[in-house]
Amino acid sequence: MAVAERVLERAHAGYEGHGGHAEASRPAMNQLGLWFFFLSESFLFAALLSGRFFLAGFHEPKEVNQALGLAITMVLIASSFTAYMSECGIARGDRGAFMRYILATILLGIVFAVGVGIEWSEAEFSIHEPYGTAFFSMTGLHASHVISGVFILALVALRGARGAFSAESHWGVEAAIKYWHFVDVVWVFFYPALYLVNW
Amino acid sequence: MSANGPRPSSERGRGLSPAATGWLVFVALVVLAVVEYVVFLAVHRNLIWMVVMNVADAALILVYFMHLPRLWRGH
Repeated sequence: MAVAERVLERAHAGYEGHGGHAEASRPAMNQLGLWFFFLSESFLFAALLSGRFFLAGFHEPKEVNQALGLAITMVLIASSFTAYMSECGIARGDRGAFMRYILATILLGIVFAVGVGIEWSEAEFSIHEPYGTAFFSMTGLHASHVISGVFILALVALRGARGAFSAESHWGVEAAIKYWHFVDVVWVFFYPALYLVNW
Repeated sequence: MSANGPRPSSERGRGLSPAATGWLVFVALVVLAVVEYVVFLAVHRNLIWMVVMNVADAALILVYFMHLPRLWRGH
């Protein structure tokens, strides 16, 4: 509760401290709004995660491609790292590093989506089985977020190439990259739930 | 926004550059992913292990990559 109050106070202080000018208080409110968006998305993903255990129990699935699961997990972790380095690049005004790393992130996102596609095509279970229902819905919803993230990053890269962002002003980059990290956090929970957990 | 770059308040004063922080977190995430897989191969009832490692993974990303503490501490 105390943390929530401090967060709201910060956003409100930004508003009051600038004479109630909405433009000046926008960064703090943008941050808050973005985190509320992540919170609302978390409920959706948490429902799917709990649904996986409700439908298929806690038993380890035998038919998934473990090597591919680990490989695409590594790809997504690497993409989070390149996204972070891209944000570091624009924050210090290094447009070259920003563009290199954001393009690497887009490429890794595409590789991840292709990996999920391969997993789908190889799956030895159907969507009508309990585990299949969980697997296809969880990976499908997550992959749709990855694909939308790739589009968002591509738009940011395009605007960046036209000089839209600077060290002083790059909220668009920050928000897109935070979204990408959020997608990675979701996979951190989905990967073991779908591939590794056993009880 | 973020004129000082992605430097969470959690690392201020430790002398770590943002790039070094990024590399450290990246290596930690890769190691955790490998350990998760090894635990899957070696431990039959691994739910508790997985939950602990997932929370550690998520915390690393939230704190160092997404700068969550900035929400209440500021830049």
